[in-house]
Amino acid sequence: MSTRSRTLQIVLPIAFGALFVALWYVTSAFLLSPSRRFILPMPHEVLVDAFLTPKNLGALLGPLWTSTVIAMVGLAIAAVIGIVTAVLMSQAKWVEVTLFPYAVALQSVPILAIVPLIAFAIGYGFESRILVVVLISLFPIITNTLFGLQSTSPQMRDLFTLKRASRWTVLTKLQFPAALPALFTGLRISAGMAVVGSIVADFFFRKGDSGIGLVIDTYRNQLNGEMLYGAIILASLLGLAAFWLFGLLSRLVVGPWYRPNAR
Amino acid sequence: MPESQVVFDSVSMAFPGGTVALDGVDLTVARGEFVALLGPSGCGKSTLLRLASGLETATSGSTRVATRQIGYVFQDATLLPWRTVRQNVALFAELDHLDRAETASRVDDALGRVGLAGFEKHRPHQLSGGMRMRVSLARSLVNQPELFLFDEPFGALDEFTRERLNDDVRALWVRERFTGLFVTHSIPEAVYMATRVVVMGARPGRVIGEFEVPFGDARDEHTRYSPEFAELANAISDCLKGAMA
Repeated sequence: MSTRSRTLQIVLPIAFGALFVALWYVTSAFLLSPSRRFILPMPHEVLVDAFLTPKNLGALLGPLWTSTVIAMVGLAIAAVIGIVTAVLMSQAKWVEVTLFPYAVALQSVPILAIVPLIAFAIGYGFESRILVVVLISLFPIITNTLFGLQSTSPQMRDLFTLKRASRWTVLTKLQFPAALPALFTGLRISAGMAVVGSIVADFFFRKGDSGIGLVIDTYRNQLNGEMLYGAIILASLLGLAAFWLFGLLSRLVVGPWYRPNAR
Repeated sequence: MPESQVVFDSVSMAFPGGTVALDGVDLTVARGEFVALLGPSGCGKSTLLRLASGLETATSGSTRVATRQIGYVFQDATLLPWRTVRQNVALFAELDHLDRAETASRVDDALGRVGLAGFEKHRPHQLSGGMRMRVSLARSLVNQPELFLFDEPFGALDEFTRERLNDDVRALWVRERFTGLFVTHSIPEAVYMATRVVVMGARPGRVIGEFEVPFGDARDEHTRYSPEFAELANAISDCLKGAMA
């Protein structure tokens, strides 16, 4: 890549961001009447009110942490269930044939449609929030891990067949390492989904410590635009951070050897 | 009559769907011979290697192999990309549950013999195609093979690298005198490498001719351009053409 195109790669997104903020100011200052300005407060008002006032920032960070914990616990549970399911599917075709339609069905169920059922069955506490996260983040882990486990070439399997290696040996020394890049892709997608699930669940399951979703809902009721935008920005950053964290983990674990398109 | 290492006894192989890969192949390979299996694609030459290695079982007839110490080099290096060169070369020792000291000494020895000492910590993606094939060779050497199977090895490499690796394989054979089965579709390569060329025809796969190669152990580029070489290559070419006509 030339120096010029690399400079453009940095300059263009920044320019777009600046344009966005400028449009935000124009809309807030000139297009909205003062009585309706709470719908879109000025960017610097959001910055000062939500992030530079310690008391207000504290009111946001606590719930943000709660949402983070719920997202990560749910993601961890989904990872264990998803990887085990994918391994079982890779070991026996009939397991794959039996379970895969339900994995797809799980993906297609609108999570909001089963929220009342979850409330009905296990209540309004943390468990329900975690369950929502697990349900929403399970599918990408299963499909990506399964794809990875099945990605080994016939000749690589021949190497192990020559030595009459056991299924367990083939799984641990061939299939699982080969599946790692795809597994991390799945985890990265699911990490973003887990944050979404955690925030959505906040709207419905309000027992226990508030999450950032509940806080968003509260500020909406209070017509507190500055704090509402602050909370939304933090929630978005959480999603980005989750995505970035698993990207980093992936680079650390498979980066030293994985080259897409190389054989 | 020297001791036989591999015996194919009227071996036939039909795949589901009706493709007949091999039809009544009889072939005996003596210990220490280097046999080139030459033929067009679809003549079942690779299938013979899979049978000899035990990866497949014939539909009828029998395959007898006198050893379990087998080396197998595929057309692709088929290295495990997450393993270093050293870990790749150690794979078979690991699968055989050899102890640490024995594994280390065999791996060092194999790496030295293919000229890869110093590259132990490299990953496959950091190596050229030729070096990856050397790793693949070293991986098989760790088996201390008495029978060495080559399935169109080096076919994906450029001409120069391929000739160098062929010379290296010949040098290994001259020193160790393993039994070699070398699949190729190149007549000059078959003549240059082998002590005997077995010509196969396709649909169904069968043996259509055998040629003893009269050159000794010392072969070099002059061998390739000698009149005797050309004469033998011509005879083999006629044999192949006769089968395809």
